[in-house]
Amino acid sequence: MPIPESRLYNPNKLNRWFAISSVLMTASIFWMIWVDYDRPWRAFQERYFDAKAAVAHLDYLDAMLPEYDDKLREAEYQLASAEEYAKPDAGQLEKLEKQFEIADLAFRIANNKYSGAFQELEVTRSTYETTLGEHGAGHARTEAAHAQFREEEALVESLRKDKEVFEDQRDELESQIRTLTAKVRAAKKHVAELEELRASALLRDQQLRGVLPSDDEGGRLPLVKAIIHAPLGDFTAPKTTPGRQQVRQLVLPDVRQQLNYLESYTTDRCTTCHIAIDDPAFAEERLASRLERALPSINEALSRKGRDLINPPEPPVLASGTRLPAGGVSEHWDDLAQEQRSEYLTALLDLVNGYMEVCDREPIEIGQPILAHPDFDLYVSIDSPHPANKVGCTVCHEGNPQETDFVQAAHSPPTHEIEEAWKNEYYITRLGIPNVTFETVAHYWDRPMRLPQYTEAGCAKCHSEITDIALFEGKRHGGRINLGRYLFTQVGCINCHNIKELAGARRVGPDLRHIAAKLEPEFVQPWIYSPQSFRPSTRMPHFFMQENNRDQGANNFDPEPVLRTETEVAAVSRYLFALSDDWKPVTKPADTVGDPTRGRELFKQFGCLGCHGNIAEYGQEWITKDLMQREGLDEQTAFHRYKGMTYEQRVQYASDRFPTDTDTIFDPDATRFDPEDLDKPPVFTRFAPDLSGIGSKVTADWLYSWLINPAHYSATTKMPSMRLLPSEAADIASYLMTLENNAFVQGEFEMTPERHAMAEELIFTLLSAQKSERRSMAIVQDVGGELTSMLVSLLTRTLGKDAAYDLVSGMTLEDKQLLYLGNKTISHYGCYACHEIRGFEGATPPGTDLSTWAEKPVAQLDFANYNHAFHDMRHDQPDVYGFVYPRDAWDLNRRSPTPDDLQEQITHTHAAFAKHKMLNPRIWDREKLKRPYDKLKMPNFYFTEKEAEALTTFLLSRASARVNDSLKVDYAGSTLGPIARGRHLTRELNCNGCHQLEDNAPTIQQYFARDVSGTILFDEANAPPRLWGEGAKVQPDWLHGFFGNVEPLRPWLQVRMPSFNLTSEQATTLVAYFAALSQRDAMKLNESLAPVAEAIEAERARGDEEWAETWFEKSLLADAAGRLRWFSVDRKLMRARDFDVLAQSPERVREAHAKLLNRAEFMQSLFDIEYPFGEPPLTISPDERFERGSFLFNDMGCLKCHVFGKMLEGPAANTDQFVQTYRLDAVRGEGDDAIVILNGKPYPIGAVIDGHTLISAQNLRYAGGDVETTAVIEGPGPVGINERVQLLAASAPNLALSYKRLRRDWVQGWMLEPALIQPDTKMPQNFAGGVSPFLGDPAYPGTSTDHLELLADHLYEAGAMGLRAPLLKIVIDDSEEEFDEDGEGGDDEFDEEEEFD
Amino acid sequence: MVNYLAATSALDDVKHVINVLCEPHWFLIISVVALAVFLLKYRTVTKPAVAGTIGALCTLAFLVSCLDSNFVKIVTKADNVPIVMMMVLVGFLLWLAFRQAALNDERMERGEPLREAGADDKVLVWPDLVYIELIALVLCTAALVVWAIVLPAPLEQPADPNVAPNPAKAPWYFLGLQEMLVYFDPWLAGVVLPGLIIVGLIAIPYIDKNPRGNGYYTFKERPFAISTFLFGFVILWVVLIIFGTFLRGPNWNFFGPYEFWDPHRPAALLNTEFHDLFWQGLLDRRLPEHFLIRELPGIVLVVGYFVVCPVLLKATFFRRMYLQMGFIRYNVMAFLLLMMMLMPIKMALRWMFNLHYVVGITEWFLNV
Repeated sequence: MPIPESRLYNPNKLNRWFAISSVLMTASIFWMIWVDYDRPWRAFQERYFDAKAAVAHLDYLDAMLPEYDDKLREAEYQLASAEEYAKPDAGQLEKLEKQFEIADLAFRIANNKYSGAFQELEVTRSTYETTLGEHGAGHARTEAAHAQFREEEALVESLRKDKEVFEDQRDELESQIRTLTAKVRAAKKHVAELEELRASALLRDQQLRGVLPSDDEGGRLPLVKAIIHAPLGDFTAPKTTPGRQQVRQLVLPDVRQQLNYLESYTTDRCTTCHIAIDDPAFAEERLASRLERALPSINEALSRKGRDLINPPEPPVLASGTRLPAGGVSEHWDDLAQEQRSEYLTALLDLVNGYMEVCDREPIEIGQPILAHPDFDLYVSIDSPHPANKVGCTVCHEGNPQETDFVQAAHSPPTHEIEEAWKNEYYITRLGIPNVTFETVAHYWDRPMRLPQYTEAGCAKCHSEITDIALFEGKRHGGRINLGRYLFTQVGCINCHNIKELAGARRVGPDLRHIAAKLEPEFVQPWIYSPQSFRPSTRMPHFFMQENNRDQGANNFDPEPVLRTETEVAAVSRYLFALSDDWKPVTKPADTVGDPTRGRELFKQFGCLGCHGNIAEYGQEWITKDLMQREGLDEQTAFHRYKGMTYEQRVQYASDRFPTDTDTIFDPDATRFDPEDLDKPPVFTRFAPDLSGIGSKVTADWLYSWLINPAHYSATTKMPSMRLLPSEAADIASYLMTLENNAFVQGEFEMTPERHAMAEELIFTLLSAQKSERRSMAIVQDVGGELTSMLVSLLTRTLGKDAAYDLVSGMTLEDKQLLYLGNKTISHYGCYACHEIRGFEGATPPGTDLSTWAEKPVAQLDFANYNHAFHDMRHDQPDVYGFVYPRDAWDLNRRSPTPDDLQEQITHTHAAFAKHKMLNPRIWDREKLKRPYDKLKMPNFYFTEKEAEALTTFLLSRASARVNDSLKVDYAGSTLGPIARGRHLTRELNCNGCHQLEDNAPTIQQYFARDVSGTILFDEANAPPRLWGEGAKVQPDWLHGFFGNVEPLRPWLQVRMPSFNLTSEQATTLVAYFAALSQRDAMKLNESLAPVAEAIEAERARGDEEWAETWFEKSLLADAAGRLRWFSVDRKLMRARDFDVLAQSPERVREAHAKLLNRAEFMQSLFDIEYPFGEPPLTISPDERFERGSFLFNDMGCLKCHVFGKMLEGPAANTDQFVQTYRLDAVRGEGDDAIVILNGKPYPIGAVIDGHTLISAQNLRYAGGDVETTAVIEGPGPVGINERVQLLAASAPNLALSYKRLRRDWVQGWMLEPALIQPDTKMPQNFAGGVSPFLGDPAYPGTSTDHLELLADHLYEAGAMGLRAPLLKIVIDDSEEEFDEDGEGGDDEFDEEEEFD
Repeated sequence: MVNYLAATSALDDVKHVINVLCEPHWFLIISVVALAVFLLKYRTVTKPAVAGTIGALCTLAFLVSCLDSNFVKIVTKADNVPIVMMMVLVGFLLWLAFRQAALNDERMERGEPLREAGADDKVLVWPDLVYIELIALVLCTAALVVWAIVLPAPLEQPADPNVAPNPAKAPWYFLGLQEMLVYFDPWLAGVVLPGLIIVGLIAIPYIDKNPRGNGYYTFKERPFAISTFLFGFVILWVVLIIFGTFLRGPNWNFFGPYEFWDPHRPAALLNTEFHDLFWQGLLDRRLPEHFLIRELPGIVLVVGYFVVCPVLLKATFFRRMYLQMGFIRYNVMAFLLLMMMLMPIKMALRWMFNLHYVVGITEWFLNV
């Protein structure tokens, strides 16, 4: 077909178009390839590989040092000499080798025969089995097969024996040869290793830089590098090529993500940029050490090049004043401050990079993202508890795991300054327009990376109990989320907001069902309205005078918020008092009159201060001292400043500036009593109310009753019973009633016509939400008794119908209205959630369930008018949106120590929402027009920023874990469960306030500072005991019983163990907690001790005693040594300076480590207990051995301090009996005013007890710090003549309890090493060095261990038999010289007593 | 009360006016009026100078609007960029067609031959057609590659079936259908109406046997056909896509182009049933028990609409058309036309009377 001539389109034109479009497409495809290739992470990886290459180069330089050559030559020489040494044995060796060859050949032949026969036997066996199966036993064929089998079996057996003969021969010869050649082989290996190291360093360097291996240093082959790094060329290199740039990812099967009704593993690509995160060489410390080590080799290289040499950087000076050795700083890395570290590292890098420049190499650039994880030993590292290949990164940090671009990975800029800086660096721009910004990412990604302060929210995924996160190798972790969890239950968040993991928490507020017996309406109303006006440190939050209900918060729908809220408060108060039921306080015996002075002493002595603060008592001392330190005032000025403060300001000062009880748990080092740092601020506890204004609050009768028995007023209170005697309670009550806060204006909100109208309007509003206006109006006015019947039905469930009717019908209309409004107001604000209030039994909590709060879509969080990123709003309207509290809200700001202008952005994230809600709960109502009952009502707790962040962290952790069980902490099967539960409970009961349970710093410690000859020390002996190792010490059954029935163990202690109202389950939790703590310590110690012991034993067996003594220097055991050192210092087994290589000679350090091992092993075996198994039953046999035990017991002098057995029953007829009947516990006060505690009961001087008169009593204080408490009585002696007898208070526990209280193993350990088990104990070490003082005494045969057992057996048997050791009677006669009846040389003491007389 | 949008600059007042004008009823009215003006004055409007000015003004308005962060956020969203391009493209193609139609119509009036007359429109498959297709293919590929580079798709978080995105939007070409769901029961909006669109489009060649306008551009010769088509396409398809893309925000609420998409902004959504209006409003009687009686007025209205309107139209506007088309064709055309008009009618009823359903037989899921 002919082609038509006229064509519509000009072929040339089409050709041109085709050419243009082809060029365009080609260009676009190249562009695509380039865009795909040009990723920011390549630059980071290049930096990393350059740095790695540089380090390899440094290794190579090391290997090029003359010393290295020397080492190599030395090794070669040793090889030569070993060979030389082996020469005389050459003949022998040759002979052996020949023999070996012969034996080996014979073995092979024999073995071949054996193997063949064995295989045939297998066939025969199979035949026999088949025949047996087919024909049965006894058949001819079976018999034949069996016979053949037996025959072959015998053959195989004999062949095997033959073979083994030769085998043994061969092996024996081989081992002989090996022994002969051992030295030569080792030397050869050493030489090879050294050569290999040099070559491999060079090779690594070359590979990382893409230089051909065979090539020398200078001669690069750029082509190779160009190809393996080129776009589309990079895939040609195998994945394992060193220096290959590629996307790296961690595939994490155990970390799950939700994908359309199924879960999938997570893939974290963070390591693509953070490439050094798992490279220990890039951990700061190791890097510094590596660079430091490189300096000599660099100098060597420089000198080869004829360049100037370099000097190590100036070493930093430690805080203690020690100057570190130049070039040896990295060994003391932990002692340096963060700034010093980075400064030193930079200086090192500068030096090394100077050299790199000389070599024309890339400099080492360290810094994000080229750094190892800062907590490398806890996270990421393969040996750590959280290895990167198991848990990955986003499990805690969140963000977009699969992205490799900075912005799209959802990095979160913490402040807008940083965002600005990041914008320029990281936004993805195309054609100059930023098209991936932080805002776009926020739009698509609900969970951007967490700011560092919230990372701990991730902990809860696996550590669901949270409290098990505490210390790791001496560093404290999880403080934020722990504090958040603690606050959530402690301040009462949990009462309004359910979280299913915390279900069953108690109500934090006091019981208000009998409020009329405790408080007056004049107090209650202003208190509800503004609790902090009365007590600035209170936990009771502020509902009123907040941003949305103060005058400035008025709007069209709520024109008078202040009047409204005052009316509401009046109504609440009316309701509470109207429904307050009859409650009779515990009546005070008629003759008891409280003595405030004595009460004040008792208040301090009994330990009330462990939970309660008391600014009235300590304010002057604390605030003056703090002012002097903080502002550098002199004492006079500081005192005047203090005087000038109102009471409220003082408490305000204390609550703003002093650490609180939470710090004693979560930041204990800052609050621990430290004799070296007496300038530490005091701990102002907020655990229980500060009592410094209590006298203005409660009634005296109520207070007495409360002190005597708190449970009488409120069965669920946390306040324990202190087992006070009526007189003590009266004293303390009268003291507390003197603590008044007169600045707090009391008074009711009078029902003025305005308030009354407001009340009616509010009721109308509430009613008309459901009913018509006309009906609502009628109810408000109680037309036809409608209001009455509504009230009756409201209260029927609580009071019963008749009582409710009686109550309501007798009221005036106003009272009825207020009753109704009060009920609805309590219901609206949710007062009943924290307080027991009548009429609200079983009401559901008012707050949102927060169990999975963090999973809520961000769009469901109402950010009010904060529509844009915070800085936009702040820029446009700074006065409205620039501050946590509005500019004019000075009164709100005053109460909150929060900075008014937060740097952190309000982004639309969960964290920003929660944090700002916590700081100002009404912030998300700002500029909104709302009706009164639509307004936000969460009260203001005036959290500090730290607390707000802690709570936010906790809330952020409330989401499904999405991790497999294999990652979750095994609470059921390990000690962690009981420990976590124990920590919950002890924190709730505030055991931490008095006892050191783990590493907490008890609040009460600050009151036990004691001046001993000019030095302030902690009065350990009189403070509540430290409970380290309690689980290993006491028997579980006893401890369980003890919680239910506290008996004084140390009668001389003034501070009292309270009687908590514990359930049996709670007591069990505590017992299990203590046991688990001991077990955990034993396990941890064992983890460190076992490898050390094993290694030392192995080296000793090889005869390397030197190695065994310097085990702690070996890198293999460095971690274990570090852990053991930390444990020993922490538990006061050793002092840190014992290990200080700078301060101590090497011998001393070695000795210290030897001691450390001993002590750690001792503690390990002590703590290694079986729980819940108690002690084996006792076999009591009062035989000759028992007698011997009792003698040894006496000879040991146990009874000098201890008593044994119960006191006799009174009355005491004479002084002999008196001594055995009345135990002197303590003496309080001095001189004639002294109070003598006998058998736990107080007696004044001059009291007559069973015909004996108390003459005098005193506490003798000795220079060493010991106290001896004595009392003198006068009474009829055994022969009828009056005599004076001195009573001596026991200073050690009653041993009669031991058999049921203590564990046997512990008792033996305690006798051996009391000071290790309880530092600063008064118990002497009777078995010094483990040796019995009576070793070798014919009366006590056996070893020291036998003596220990004898003593323990005696203690337990005698205790179980109920024996008692009579107390010593000390008669004072006129000569006053026969006191010393025990004959133990107490002369000096009594001489001193004379002086005191 | 300080409102973020009530800041003081004059531009903000303009923005506010535009925001108000972008409320759906105003927007729709303005669109219809604009279309009507365009069709009536197509000769003037399509003059290069006028059209160029309009285009330039629109571009200027667009650029000035880009000073507003909310506007930028919406139009630069990677998903929305094609819709911006589509708006430009629809405008341009409309102009192109009507410009040629205008020229042809003028020529016809002057008795000159058409622009297309005498053109040999035969093209050789090889090399011309295939070659051009190849070039188009290459250019499209290049354009798509560049597009993918310049506007990369964001990597969103893993889809969670328990959490629907807010707003949850259909693909852009279905946004018109999604908009219908606001006004009609799903069986109508999701099944019948889309089905009828397809059926109607298929039916056009059989209904419309008018040979005029074949192979050349004209408006004057086919005013009804073109106007009807443009009403269906521009107003009921393109405008609804614009609604769905730019104006429908969180909770499927309407937002002005300069408004922040606040998920917490409340919207007054009241629904009234026709039976309530009729029985309670008009007759002041309680609703009849039986649903058929209850819905009788609505059914009468709907049936009346489909029965009475064709008859009325036949007698008035469409008299000549009926004669040309014959009974069956006319009735099919009228049915399709009325079906199409259901949409704007229902929208107007919703906006004016909050009318939910005309016939609300919820017992049978049969709502109109």
